[in-house]
Amino acid sequence: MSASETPLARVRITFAVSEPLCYTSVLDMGRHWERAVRRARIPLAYSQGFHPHPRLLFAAPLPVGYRATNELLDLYLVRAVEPGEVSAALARQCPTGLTVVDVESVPVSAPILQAEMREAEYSVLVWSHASPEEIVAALGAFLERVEVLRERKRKGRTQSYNLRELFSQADYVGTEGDHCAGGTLVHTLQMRARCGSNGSGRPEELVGQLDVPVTHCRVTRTRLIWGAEAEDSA
Amino acid sequence: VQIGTLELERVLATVQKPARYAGGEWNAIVKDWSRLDVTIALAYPDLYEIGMSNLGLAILYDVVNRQDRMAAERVYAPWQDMDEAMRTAGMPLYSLESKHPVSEFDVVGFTLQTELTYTNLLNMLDLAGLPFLSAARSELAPLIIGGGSGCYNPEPLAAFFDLFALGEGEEIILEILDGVAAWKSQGRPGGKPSLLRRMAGLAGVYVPSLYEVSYSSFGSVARIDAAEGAPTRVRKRIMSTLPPTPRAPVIPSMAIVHDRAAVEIQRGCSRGCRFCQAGMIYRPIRERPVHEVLDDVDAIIANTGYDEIGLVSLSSSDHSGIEQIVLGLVERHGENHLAISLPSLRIDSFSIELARLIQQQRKTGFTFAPEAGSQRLRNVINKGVNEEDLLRTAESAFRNGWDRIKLYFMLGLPTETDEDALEIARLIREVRDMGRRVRGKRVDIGASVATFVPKPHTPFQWLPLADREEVERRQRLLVRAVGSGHIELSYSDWATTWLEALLSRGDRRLGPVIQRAWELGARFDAWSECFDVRHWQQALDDVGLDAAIYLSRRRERDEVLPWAVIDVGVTSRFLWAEYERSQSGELSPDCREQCHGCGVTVAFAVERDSVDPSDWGCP
Repeated sequence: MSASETPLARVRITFAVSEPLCYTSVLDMGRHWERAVRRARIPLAYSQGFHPHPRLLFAAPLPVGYRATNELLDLYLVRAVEPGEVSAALARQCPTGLTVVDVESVPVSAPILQAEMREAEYSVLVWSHASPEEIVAALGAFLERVEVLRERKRKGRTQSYNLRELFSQADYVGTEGDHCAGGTLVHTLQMRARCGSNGSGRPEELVGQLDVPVTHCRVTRTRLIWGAEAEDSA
Repeated sequence: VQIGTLELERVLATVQKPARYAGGEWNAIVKDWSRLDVTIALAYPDLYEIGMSNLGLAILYDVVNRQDRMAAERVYAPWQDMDEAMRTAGMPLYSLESKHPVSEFDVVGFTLQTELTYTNLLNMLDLAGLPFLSAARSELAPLIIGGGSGCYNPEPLAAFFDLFALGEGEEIILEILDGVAAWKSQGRPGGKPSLLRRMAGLAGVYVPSLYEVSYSSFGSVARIDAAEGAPTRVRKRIMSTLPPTPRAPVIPSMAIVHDRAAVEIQRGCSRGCRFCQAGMIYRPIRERPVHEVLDDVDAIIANTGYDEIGLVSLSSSDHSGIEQIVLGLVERHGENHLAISLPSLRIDSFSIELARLIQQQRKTGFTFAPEAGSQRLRNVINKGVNEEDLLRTAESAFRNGWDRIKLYFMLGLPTETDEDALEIARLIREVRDMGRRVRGKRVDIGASVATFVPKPHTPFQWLPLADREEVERRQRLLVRAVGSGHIELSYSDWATTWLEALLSRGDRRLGPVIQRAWELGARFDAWSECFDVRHWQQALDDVGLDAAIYLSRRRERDEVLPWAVIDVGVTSRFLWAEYERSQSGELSPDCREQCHGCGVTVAFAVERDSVDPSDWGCP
């Protein structure tokens, strides 16, 4: 491996995810970025070793099916490139459903985002026959509980966890005026949940716990809260 | 009427790996349907991950979409969860590009790659809301056409398809679409029968409904009668030179089987292995010139951002300029982390040299296909390689740093004895011991032993499938003789071999069997977690057909074979001569060195006259 492979620069990309890229797993999302970066001829650095792989790091994996407006990705480069240049080059190479919102330079030695992740905010659309009042009441009932136990399977073992403690906030925002066919309303909820190595709250699981009929739910991650920012808002 | 976005979102929220069904990939081509004369859905009857790895489909997608007034869109078989979710939601099978229901296309073209996808094909028709039988579909339904290697015996599917396009599809697909567009614009004169008759006039088009098959009292085909105006035999189409490489292929939305760019460097194979259908049906040999390959790779990498390129052919190291190709790629892209994959290397030191050039960074496994364990049997199948070649090549691979070698063999070959099976075990152990000596430590050997199916259009086409008890006994012998010690042995299960043989060697009477198997729940028969042979046994019982008439009987030389209408350019006389040579263990050398008169240069004399004689591998 040549010396030029040592990363000499790092850029942080803020990006948005919508259809159809929202159906992509985090592994595949990495591949899409890698290929877009190669098409854009941005000088990505590769790891050393037996299987060199491109050095790009997401702040937090986006679950399959989620949309997002402010995701973060760090690219390590073998030479410095102006953020504006990176942004322009990528804009022409992003597949449908992937949009670059912002690019900034960060020090190569800055902390790894993933290790700094604390929480995330979500906007959640809920298709339901329930009235706004019923949703508000159901949300209130959820928030009043101290413990909402759920189970998940991980590596063949069943683990139980407290869904309630993963959410620091869940508010009713409003409903779209239009009644869809069959009297379904589209309600907007806003949530803030833990996100990172200490577990992540999944908004659709909270919605699943509400005592109202739900036909569909669309989750958009709107903000990642990490490091210093998390401390400030705490 | 396209599938609604929210409707699709709700269905996709309930299934695993929704990216398979979402479309919108980089380089996908979505056209405005109001500006088109004719549309085709290119359908692959297996999962997205499999279908998207198929280079043939990528070529046709490119060829059709270059035409302003035509559109080709893609559709794959939904996995069981999606199948169920679509049925529950009342959602029809749709294309990934424009999300139009498949039933709204003018033509649906299925790729027939393996027989084990036939029930998926019916399932896709069912999800599309289309009747299975060609005769039951009106002139307003899409024309259902088939292409690909399965067409070399399309008879079991004859009732379901309107037509089959034989051979290389790059030109014929446009001729078919032009024909459909013209017929449509004239107001569909004469309905579907008239369209099919027009189509039957195109070279390479086989319209099965224009042929009547009758059977003898003991179960063979007695005769095949062509309707007036339909050719007695339909000859496959070929391109006189390799068509342009698709330089901006669709990038899959998820990891797929062959997740890399691909350039076809050569079509056809000159080795003449007698068991190999591909070696017979893809003749003649045509190479892509070195400079063209290099330019193709540059363009594909720029258009896709792939970090791996596959150089596709039946025998990569046989390309006369392969070394220049590899050196050129290393020179142009070596610093750019481009991995080069070179499948199907022959067994010699030149292959090791090539592999060394392309694998500077990582050493994955090395794969060789000796096919049989004993020299006697390798001569029978015309695998022109001896044990010394194999051991020397393995030694060279070990010396150059590889510590994993994979070997491909077959059981159930004609004239095989238990001794031949034991020879496979001995060879595997010799390779392993050689590795230990050279590397001075543990090496890993993988051995994959498939069961041979005598395929149509090969010198063994007249032979029965090997006997089940014999094959299974030899598999056990092999397992015992190989022993343990870092050898991973795998072999085919009988049921899958049996089904593959039945569907590749059968005739039209199998149509109702395939349909019945689908009704009984057969889907994804190539997937061991889905395959249940009882569906097929039950289907044969219900239809009242005995598989033995296709599998256990040696066919007569002058017998009418079910695939007799299909003409691949290789004569029956040549195949029989090769069969006879196999019985006396006579080798037929590489046909680049010496022409064996297989018939291809006669059948395609016009095509050959249009190019420089040296463009083909034929002497």
